[in-house]
Amino acid sequence: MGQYILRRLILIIPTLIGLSLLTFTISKVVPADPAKLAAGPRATPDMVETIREEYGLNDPLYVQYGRYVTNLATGDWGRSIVSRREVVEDLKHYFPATLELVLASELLAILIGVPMGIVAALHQNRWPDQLSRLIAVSFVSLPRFWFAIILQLLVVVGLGLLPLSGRLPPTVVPPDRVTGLYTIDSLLQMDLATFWTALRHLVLPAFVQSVGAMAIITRTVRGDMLEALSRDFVRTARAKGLSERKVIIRHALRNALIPTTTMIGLSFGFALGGSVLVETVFDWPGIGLYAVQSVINFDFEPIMGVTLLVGILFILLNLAVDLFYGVLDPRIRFK
Amino acid sequence: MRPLGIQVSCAQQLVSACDEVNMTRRRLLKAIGLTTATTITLPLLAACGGDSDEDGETPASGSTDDAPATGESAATPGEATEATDDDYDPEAILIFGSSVDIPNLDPAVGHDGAIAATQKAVYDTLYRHMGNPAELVPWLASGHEVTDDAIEWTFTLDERATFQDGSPVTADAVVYSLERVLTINKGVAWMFSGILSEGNVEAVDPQTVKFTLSEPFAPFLHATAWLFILNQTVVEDHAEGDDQGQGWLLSNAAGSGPFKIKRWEPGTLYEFESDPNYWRGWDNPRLKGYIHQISRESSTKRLALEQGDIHVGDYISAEDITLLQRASNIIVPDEPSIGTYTVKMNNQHGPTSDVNVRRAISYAFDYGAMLQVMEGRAVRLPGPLPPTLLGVKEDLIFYETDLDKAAEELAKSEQYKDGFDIEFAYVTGLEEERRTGLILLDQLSKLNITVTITPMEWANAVALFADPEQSPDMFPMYSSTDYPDPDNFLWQAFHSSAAGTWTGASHYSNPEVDRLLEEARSTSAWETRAGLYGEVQQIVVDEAGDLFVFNEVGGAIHSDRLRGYQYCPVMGSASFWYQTWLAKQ
Repeated sequence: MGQYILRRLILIIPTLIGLSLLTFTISKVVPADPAKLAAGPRATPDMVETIREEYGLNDPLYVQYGRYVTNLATGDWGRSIVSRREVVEDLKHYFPATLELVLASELLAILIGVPMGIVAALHQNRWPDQLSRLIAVSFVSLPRFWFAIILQLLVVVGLGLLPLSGRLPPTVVPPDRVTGLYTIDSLLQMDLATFWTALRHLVLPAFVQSVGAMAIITRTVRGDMLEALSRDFVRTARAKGLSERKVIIRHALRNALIPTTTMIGLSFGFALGGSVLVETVFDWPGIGLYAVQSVINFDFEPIMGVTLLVGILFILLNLAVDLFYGVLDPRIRFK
Repeated sequence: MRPLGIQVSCAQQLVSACDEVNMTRRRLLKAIGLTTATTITLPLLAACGGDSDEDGETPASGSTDDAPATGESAATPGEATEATDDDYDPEAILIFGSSVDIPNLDPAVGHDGAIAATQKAVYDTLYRHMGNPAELVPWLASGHEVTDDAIEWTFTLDERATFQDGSPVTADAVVYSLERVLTINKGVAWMFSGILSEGNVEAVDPQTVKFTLSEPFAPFLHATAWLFILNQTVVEDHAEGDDQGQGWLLSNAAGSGPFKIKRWEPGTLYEFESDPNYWRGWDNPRLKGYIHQISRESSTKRLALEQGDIHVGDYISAEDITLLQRASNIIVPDEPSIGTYTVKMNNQHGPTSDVNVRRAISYAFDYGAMLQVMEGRAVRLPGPLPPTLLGVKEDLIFYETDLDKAAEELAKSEQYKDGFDIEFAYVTGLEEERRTGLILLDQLSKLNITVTITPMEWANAVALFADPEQSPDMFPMYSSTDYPDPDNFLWQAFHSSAAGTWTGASHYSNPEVDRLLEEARSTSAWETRAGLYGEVQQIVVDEAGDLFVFNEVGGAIHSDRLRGYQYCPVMGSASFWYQTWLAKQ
């Protein structure tokens, strides 16, 4: 298994080279001039040239790509042409916000989606099943942007239960950085007041972010549970006299969770790329907005940075999901 | 076409000024014409054709030591008048919800609205734009002298001026700051690089600095409002290699401004605290600090304003503004701005290279429909200058919607009289721009012109503007408002040297206009300049250089707790919080 993991990790390198080459090529064939854009509306040709020289944009493409990859190997992810900030520093700043949002949203999706799927399967074609179907179809088809605004109106303005936006109120200083996740960092520092405030800020965006995954998980668990419940091993378990609870949780659900795990892994990976709409409505300073702003400004190195980071995470997530299959089903062996 | 009347009468201005909730004493004095600024000013009464102490010389030839009110009334440090309002909340922090990030604060690098507002908070300049209409007010300078040929500009520094670390602001700092702009060659370098080079700025003595321009540049005093003065010692302490402190200054400041940076969280918020020892003191109750919070969604900002979570919001959609106007705790200013919205028409390539086609489009466009799209947040723009700007040609002959005249103009075009296809490109996601395209599509179809509406990423558009062969036939655009002078609007759009920049996306070229603009830059007599600019305005309107659409209504939408707010239409000045304070909840 150790060799399997090592081999998968080594495979990251050619994958990233391919990814970087693809992103680089696409960004260079698009008819845009990042130097002109960064120089501003009334920049003289001389000023534009200054920026081109500083960022090596006059060099042949293969030289630019070679320099980028070489720098990458030394841990230098480049600098934004707009802000001059190090891309690595930006990623360290923006990514934890997205990670916190995604972790919370996936947790919500699992905690609500899995039980809802089980209940639907156990009450097939009866009202709990119909209700869960209605919820799932609604959640997966609701425009996220609209749903977020409606929830703001209902929960924030109408009921006054939760804050409107942001990770913390602007006047509250974030906890000292350990992970960059405010809820975790505040807990680590035993700052319960900040933890509670950060948690309250997290609930609404995490819920909006979670509904798509929640719907898919619900429907996947339902389908796989129905299939598992009709299998011989379930009949055997019941024949042995096991309680219905044990039959469902230990036997049926465990088998049903394998495809669900794949779905969770995929949705987690997609979400890590950032959800621009949720981040926009809730003023959540995540990596999605950072990526979009970089694309708008045609800021090449941040675009590359986000692409590579998300690529690495996606590969690692896939590996984690594959390994988790072995936990769920010991018959699965890795060679 | 019809002659342009005066857009806003003096009486209307006065009444509306008196009606404003936040009007200050100075504002009232200005409105009734008692202010006698002797610097280059844009007084309301002058715009209305009334009398003022202006002698028609711009910039003033001679000393400006008898500075306007702002220059003289500044309290000394420690004597700030912080308790003139019973409702004043000394602990309140203003929250400004802004769509725009502050990627780079370096005065020699960053230059856009949000960056400029922050630079103006933490740095000072020799002169500063204040109020509406924008006046140039001596700030670090106590006055200036200029030779008749507008070549030598000598500024006397205010003896009280100190940087935030307590060291004095000297002429050497001014020289250093300008030379740094020129050597880094980014940001606002375009304002200075054509008229100044290293060695042209001289520290005559610690309090006197002299600029010797390589050619006359009448709006130079405006340019000084963009030269942020840095503390050389602090910058050099933080410089790495030959970067002249660029790495450090992108998120730190070395200035003498009224606010200090407290927190810098990129993409999230930027917090500033007011400096109680600010060298000019505080005219009004002192705001404890302010937070520039990034908030991109209009509806979120509307709700936050209504809830009191933020005190000011920018880039709020017309629909949300309509809703906010009904909120009892929100003030929606509707002051005249100098922001113009035009549709760039490619003067060098495609159907719009034919002047008859451009005139036909100008007649065919439904200006009333566009103003409806803006839901009261705009007024008609007859020509290239915003209607309230000093120098606007009052008897300008301009276009009104008239399809018969449009057909007549089109018929004059041999090549295009039977109709043609044309592209209208706009920035993806900008709704008012898309609707501009829809209005054109509808109106031009009546002339057998088929409009294709193409959404486009801004980055791609900027690249296309460089080449007239590739530049879109039509592209809507907001002008930049760096300084309130006709030169700002006319040069950036219609001088042939601007062709290919994004403000010169029309690729307009007319040697006569070039000559007039150059002559206007090199003369200091305002009346002569105004005449030259008047000629330029009529020429570019006659030639339909652009499609002139609307002039935005301005002012930051804010909570009624915000007091002392003065809108200034110059870029970055609308959110300068030095004179504001918050009332108790």
